[in-house]
Amino acid sequence: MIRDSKFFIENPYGRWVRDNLFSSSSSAFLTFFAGFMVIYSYRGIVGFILNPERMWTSVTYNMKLYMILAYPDEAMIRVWLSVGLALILGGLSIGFYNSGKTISLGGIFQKLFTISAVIAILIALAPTNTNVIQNDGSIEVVEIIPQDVRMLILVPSLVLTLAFFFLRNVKIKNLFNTAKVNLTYFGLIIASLYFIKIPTISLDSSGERIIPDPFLPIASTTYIPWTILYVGMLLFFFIGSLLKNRDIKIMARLIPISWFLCPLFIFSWIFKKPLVELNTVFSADIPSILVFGIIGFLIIRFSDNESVGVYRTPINIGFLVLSIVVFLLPLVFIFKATMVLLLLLLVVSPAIATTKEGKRQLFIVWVVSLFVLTFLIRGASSDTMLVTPTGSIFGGFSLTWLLAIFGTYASFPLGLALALGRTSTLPVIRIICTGIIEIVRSVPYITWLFFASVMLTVFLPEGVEFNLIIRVLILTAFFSGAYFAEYIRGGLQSIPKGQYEAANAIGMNPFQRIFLVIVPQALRTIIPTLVGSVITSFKDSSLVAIIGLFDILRIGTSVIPAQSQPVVFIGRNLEQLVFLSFFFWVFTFVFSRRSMKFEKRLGLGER
Amino acid sequence: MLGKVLKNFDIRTFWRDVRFLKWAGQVLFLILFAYSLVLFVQTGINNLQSTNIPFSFDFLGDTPGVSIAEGFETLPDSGLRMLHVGMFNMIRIMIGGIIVATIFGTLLGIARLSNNWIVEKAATALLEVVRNVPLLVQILFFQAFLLAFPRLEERDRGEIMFHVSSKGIAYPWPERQESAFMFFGFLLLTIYLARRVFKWRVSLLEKEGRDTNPFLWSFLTFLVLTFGNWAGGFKLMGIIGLISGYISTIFDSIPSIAYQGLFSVIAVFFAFRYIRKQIRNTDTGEIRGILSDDDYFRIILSGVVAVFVVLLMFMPFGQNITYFLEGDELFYKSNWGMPQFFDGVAKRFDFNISGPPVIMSYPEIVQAGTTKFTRYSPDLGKVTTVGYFATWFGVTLYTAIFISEVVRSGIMAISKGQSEAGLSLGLRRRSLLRLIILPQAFRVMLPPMGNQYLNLAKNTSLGVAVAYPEVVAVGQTLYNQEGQTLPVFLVWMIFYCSISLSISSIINYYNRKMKIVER
Repeated sequence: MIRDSKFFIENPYGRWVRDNLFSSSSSAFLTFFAGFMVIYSYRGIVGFILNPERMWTSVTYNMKLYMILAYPDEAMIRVWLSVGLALILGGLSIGFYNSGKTISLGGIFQKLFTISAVIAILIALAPTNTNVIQNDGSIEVVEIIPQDVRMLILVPSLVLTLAFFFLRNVKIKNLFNTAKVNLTYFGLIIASLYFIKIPTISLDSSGERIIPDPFLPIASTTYIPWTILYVGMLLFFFIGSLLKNRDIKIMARLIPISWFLCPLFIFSWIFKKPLVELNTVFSADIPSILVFGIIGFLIIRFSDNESVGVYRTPINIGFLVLSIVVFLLPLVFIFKATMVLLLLLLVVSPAIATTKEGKRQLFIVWVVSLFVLTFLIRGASSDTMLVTPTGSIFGGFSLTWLLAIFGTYASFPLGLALALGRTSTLPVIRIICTGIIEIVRSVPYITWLFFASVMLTVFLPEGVEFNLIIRVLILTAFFSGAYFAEYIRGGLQSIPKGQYEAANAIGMNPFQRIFLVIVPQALRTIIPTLVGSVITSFKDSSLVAIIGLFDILRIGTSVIPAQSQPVVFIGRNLEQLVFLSFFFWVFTFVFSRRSMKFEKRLGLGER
Repeated sequence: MLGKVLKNFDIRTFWRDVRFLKWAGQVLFLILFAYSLVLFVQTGINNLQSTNIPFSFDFLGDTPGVSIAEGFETLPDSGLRMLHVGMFNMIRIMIGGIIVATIFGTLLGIARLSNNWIVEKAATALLEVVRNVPLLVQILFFQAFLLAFPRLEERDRGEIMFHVSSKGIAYPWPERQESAFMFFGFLLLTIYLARRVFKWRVSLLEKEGRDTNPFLWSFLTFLVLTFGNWAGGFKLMGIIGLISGYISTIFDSIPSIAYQGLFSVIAVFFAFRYIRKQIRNTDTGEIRGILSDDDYFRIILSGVVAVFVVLLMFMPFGQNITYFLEGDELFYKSNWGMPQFFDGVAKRFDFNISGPPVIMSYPEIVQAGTTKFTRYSPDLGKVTTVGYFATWFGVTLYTAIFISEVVRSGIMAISKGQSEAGLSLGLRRRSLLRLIILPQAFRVMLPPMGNQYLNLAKNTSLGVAVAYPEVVAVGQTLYNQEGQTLPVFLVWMIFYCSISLSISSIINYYNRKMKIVER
């Protein structure tokens, strides 16, 4: 038999083939069958994409529409600032967290070998012709990859493959920083924006389309901002690695907090351009900061005072009642929000403000968070100065992103509250929370979206009107909150009873026990599940297209396929859907892979 | 007692007492919750009254005056009927989806654990693609893909074998004939007999230790009996019809209230006895009087069954049963179902029926009414519309991917020693999987699998995006027509809640049955 020949037993590659592809007769059959299926579908997909019937310029031409819909041109700098903020933070955190890892030259060549080999195989297997179905049902064969084009790619990639195959065994002791190598790859992508040219729809001075489409660089209008952002990212990468080398501990806390605040800051100030009146700042914001700053100072100052400690329970209850009263009174929103923060301070201060140093730090945190909260709420609650034809500055990918992130932000605290309620020993609270969770979960998301779009207004008192986006966010918060609650409940149940008893034994009150001992441990165990459900809510945010919000999916399915000016894109659905699938896929795939690495770094599941 | 409490009462300790605090907090919470709920509902009622569309369920009885694209009735005469069509369409996709997704998902899950490199990689690639793209995008893609096919008008009219166009997919389908009921009745009997033969051969194998070929024997039994069945053996089932005829005559001669009452009393009696037994069982030993969730589930289920039986006795099901079994003719004055049911059975299982049970029916392209357009003939072959295909295929593929993950983790949860033990006994890999791994993995897989089924049921609501008339889309049409948004929403809620509850109770039932008995 061939299987038992020398090559398949002694040669490591032959051995691999024998073990992994032809280990038994059924395995050999499966290899041929699956191989046939894979190659057949690959050729089908390539034929589908390169089919002359496809009009990919309908995607590239509308890229701006996809991303920001009708965001005013004169404020474009704000969009770039938002993207830039995220990239700069990304650079900073890569520099701070990932600058330690190294890769050898051989490792780089190994990777390049894999990439060039894959390219060579893919181009070798690609089909030459594809079928175009004519309107009368007959099939026409069209050449999509001419022989010379195939050779033009195949020969260099084969040469590179061979070169890297031998180079990957070089024993050079030089080690390269992984992060720097990755940033170089990213830089190559940015550089390709200048060089790689694709057919682009362009209009001449009279508004007529130039036929045939001239070849222009990929990002013919946006390569300058991209380059600037890339330089900024590089700069912050080096700042990050510098901070890492200086061993500045506080950055380890500041970076996650900045990631958390970044979207809030972007949407309340950068993207929105709020119209802030100095009048309200002086009449509401500054008094709020002063009053709550002083109250917080008093709480921190006297939290370990023994004569006050006796009255801690009535003071806590008093603040709880006060906050309920504040919520029911028609006060400025900033007061209500800060009241919640104050309750949190009340819970944590007895545990942290036990020494002079602890008190000082807590006071600094308190003042900073007061300022940040007031600043963000002022921006978020003000009207925007930008004027758009659609009435909302959010549209396209910015809306999808807004829904996904704020859906998570709003649903997480709600889910935590529901989970705690469901695991509570108090029967009334448990029954109510269980009821809410089960009812919300048993009905599909789309019906809740219909509820938000046509029914929620009925339940709101007269004069209170929310934008459709806000209504969707409210319902999303409940819907994902109910799912979060179930995951968090799983985490809570995995905490051993000893932890509760230990917390009781050192004299913690129930709030401290839950928020300082139980919840942090419970959340740590369910991070993988939580990341999964964040991905799910990102994917689910595309459902708002059905109720008429102009998110990225609706632009792809109803706006672009109806365009006839200046170029006719009518009926170009398939291209948009393929592009959207790819777009969503890239985001969710990268996110899930990153989260897997993150889990490994946290050492989850290895306790 | 009270005096003692009052004597020891001290306001300083009282408000620090945990018991007081707990109940005070709960009462406060309840008051706040109820207050906000009342406020919410009150505002809703007020607002509805001021909009001239007062809350009412009247639209369920009115004729909606719109047609539905597909379903067992395309021109329903009432709102309720229309919702029924939508519910039926949804359940159709759900059941088809659950069956196919389970089979495909299990295969995919096993493929992901395969030793074969290319099979494993292909399965993983499919998983990574489908899992990371929103389901709605996939469904819309499948719809756009089918719609990109040539229009049906381009094709000549006439009979066809298999055809895809922008109107859907048409393919041959076995059409049920008169003898189908008898044939399938006999088939059930055949399957039972084949199973008995299998068990008998296995017991022989265990007793005597020689290879008795259980599978071959039972397969041969099945083959021979089915062949005989097709050739006319199904006539044997006529005995059932004969007996049913007698029962029907007997039922018809007694006044119906007698056995309506009798059966109701019997059902209630048995339910009562079962519940009492459950409660008594928990009333002993350490678990004195404490009922677990399972006990509550059993008690509630038996109560529901009893109520259902009683309702069955007194509800006018007769018309529906005759409609289902005998076409649209109504033979009986009585509107109670029992006599009709047995008479219908007697008519279906008759010695005189002959001919093959199913005949292949081929689709045909015909003229649509008197217009110049063409369509697939609705009576011949089977036509899968674009909306149905896109929803069904999208939902099934998406769920199958998640099921494959469940299957994979279920198999990986089984300790390696189990498969090593099986291999050392000389089992082949296929037998190992079938006899040792999968039965054990099934126990681990069942709860997450149930979750996936629930997700599938809920995801069918995305059919609204591709104009497939399932319950959400139908409800949306209804409230656009009548303006009654809230009642429609309540109907959705009740419907989906009951679907979720039934799926989870079935899964719970199996879960309890499969659970390892711990002593």
